[in-house]
Amino acid sequence: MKHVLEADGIQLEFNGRKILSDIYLKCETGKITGLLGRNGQGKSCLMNIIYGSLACEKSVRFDRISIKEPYKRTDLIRYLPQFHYLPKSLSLHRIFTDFELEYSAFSGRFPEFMGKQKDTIGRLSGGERRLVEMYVLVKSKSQFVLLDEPFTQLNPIQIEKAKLLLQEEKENKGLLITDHIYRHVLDIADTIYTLSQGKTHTTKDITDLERLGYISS
Amino acid sequence: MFRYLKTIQALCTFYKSYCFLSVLITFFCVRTFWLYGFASFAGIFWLKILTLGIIFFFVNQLKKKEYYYYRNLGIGKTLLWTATLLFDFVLFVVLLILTNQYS
Repeated sequence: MKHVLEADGIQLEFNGRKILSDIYLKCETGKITGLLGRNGQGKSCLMNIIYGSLACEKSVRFDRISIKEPYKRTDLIRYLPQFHYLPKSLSLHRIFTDFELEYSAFSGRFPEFMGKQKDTIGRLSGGERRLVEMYVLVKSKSQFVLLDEPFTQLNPIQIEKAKLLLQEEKENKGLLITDHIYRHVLDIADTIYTLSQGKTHTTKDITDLERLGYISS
Repeated sequence: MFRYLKTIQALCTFYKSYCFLSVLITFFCVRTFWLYGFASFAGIFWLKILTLGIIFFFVNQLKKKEYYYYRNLGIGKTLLWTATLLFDFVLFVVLLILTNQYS
């Protein structure tokens, strides 16, 4: 069954400066939705608003049903922030148990993690840590996952494997992804929105990105 | 059932981030109460409240990124703080009652 996440009617201001004002975003299961935008345009704020961790005037609907604090429904949505969010003291075994996932499936896909399930996440490198943080959310039982800069700190091989993982997992859920390495987002996204001057713009190709000032022509 | 156990485990993980300092203050208060009795009650009560406030302020700053781990498990900031502060304060009160009974 197909599920739809929609967000609109969002009004966000900081110190009288309008950050987000004319937003419409639709994310569907079975698709990867890309969100691009220059620094400070409000991509992370928008994700936090959709997730419910940033309060403001908004309408966020799951299958047309409005939900005020979606993060309380882990069956509906999970969110990967742009920074490390897992407590350093937790072991990989504990993290995979928390998210009800098999560690063996993960180490099978990423052999560099073989035999490391007793290690704490704090002992891993930044890239390894990021990979675990992304994997547990992408594979968890949830209709939608918001990914804020998932490729940060990953090496090129890990990025390719992560892209493959996202493309496989979109069959089970809807993914909303933003990253400054926009070519990776363009590679895997089925729909792209660009955030510019507080508004979302449906983006079809690279010429739209040039027109919106996201990349130079 | 598994979900409740997971929530309790996550609350324990969060409580561990400040329990050492808080329990240390509780033991200091209990020892003071044992030595000086009810004359010290108002002082230790407000000391406990004040130190919990300070702990909340600093841990809230230090651990704000980790809130996303708990949120991704369906546990909001309000539940994290309410449950752990309540447990900590109940522990404080229970130890004071026991000290009063056995001193």
